[in-house]
Amino acid sequence: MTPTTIPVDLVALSGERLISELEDIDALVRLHRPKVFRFVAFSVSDRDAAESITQDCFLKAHLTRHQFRGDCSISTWLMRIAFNLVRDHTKSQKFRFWKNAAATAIDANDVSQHLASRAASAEEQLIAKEQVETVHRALQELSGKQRSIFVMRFVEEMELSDIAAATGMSLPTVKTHLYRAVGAIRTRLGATL
Amino acid sequence: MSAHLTHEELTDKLLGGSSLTVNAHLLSCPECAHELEQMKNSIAGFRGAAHAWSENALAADRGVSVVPKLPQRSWTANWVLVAASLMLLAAALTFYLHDYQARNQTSSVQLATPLTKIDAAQSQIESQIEKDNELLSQVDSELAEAVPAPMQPLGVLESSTSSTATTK
Repeated sequence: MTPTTIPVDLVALSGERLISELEDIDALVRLHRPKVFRFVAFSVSDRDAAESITQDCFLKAHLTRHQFRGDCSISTWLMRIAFNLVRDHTKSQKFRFWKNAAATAIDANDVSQHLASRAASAEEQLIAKEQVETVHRALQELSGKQRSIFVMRFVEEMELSDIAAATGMSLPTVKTHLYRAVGAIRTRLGATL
Repeated sequence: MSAHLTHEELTDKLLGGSSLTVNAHLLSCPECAHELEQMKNSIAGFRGAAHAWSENALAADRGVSVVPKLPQRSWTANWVLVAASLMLLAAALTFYLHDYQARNQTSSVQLATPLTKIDAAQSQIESQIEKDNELLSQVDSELAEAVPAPMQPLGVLESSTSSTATTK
């Protein structure tokens, strides 16, 4: 099989198109904000912090748009910025101090309230709600990296290669984090059900 | 193959990987199949709830501008900046006035210096110049001599030897 090669001009053209997409900040925010916000919210477990970090993410993306080389999708690039901001936020002493006392912390019960009720019986609905809360609680016990990678894979349904590009980690490292994250959730689910 | 799927095999299956042996095991092992199904359902439920929650949260912020604004200084920061500028200006003004006064005082002191002192200094300079000239002329006269002062003993010796030679 002959390997498919992309002409250099086409790559440059694609890069230019992506850069021009980055210029339109309104469209960029409209298109990618839900994903970035969701990723940040479930990574830091705080709604206010998530809103602030999401704003910072788009501001940083706009200010550094000329550094975008077009070697990945805009979505992956934004997730990379968001991942770094989440990491910085998690590292800060301020976060550690306020983590447990945050008034805007995302509650497991609040999340499970939004579960679409497709269950046949009330009992099944209750079990499904319990499962969502268990996954949410298990997420809180993970390390920052494990949590972010879990959210990227299982909430945002990103490809492993995109997660590796967004986090700057190798593919085996990403998989190792996922094994650990799934292991924690599996243990929690096994204990509750 | 062990009795049940390993954690890695189960996670790989969750991640979308498909292995013939794992698939075959799942068909024959209801326990592993049930656990995988339970994990899938839990994660899918969490994903659905997370999406619905975030949509709800973003809908609540609909009135708020979502486009990030360029960083602006707060009112407090502005006041601090104004106060700092005023203090800097005041300090610069004080320093300038102080310097100006000091310079005025120096010039007035210089004007008040008596003329006699200036005359004395001038005469001192003149006497020094005179001494220097004297020294220079002395050096010139020494240089003008045929035999330099340090070589004079040799000159005497040479004259005595020549006189003895002539007598022979």
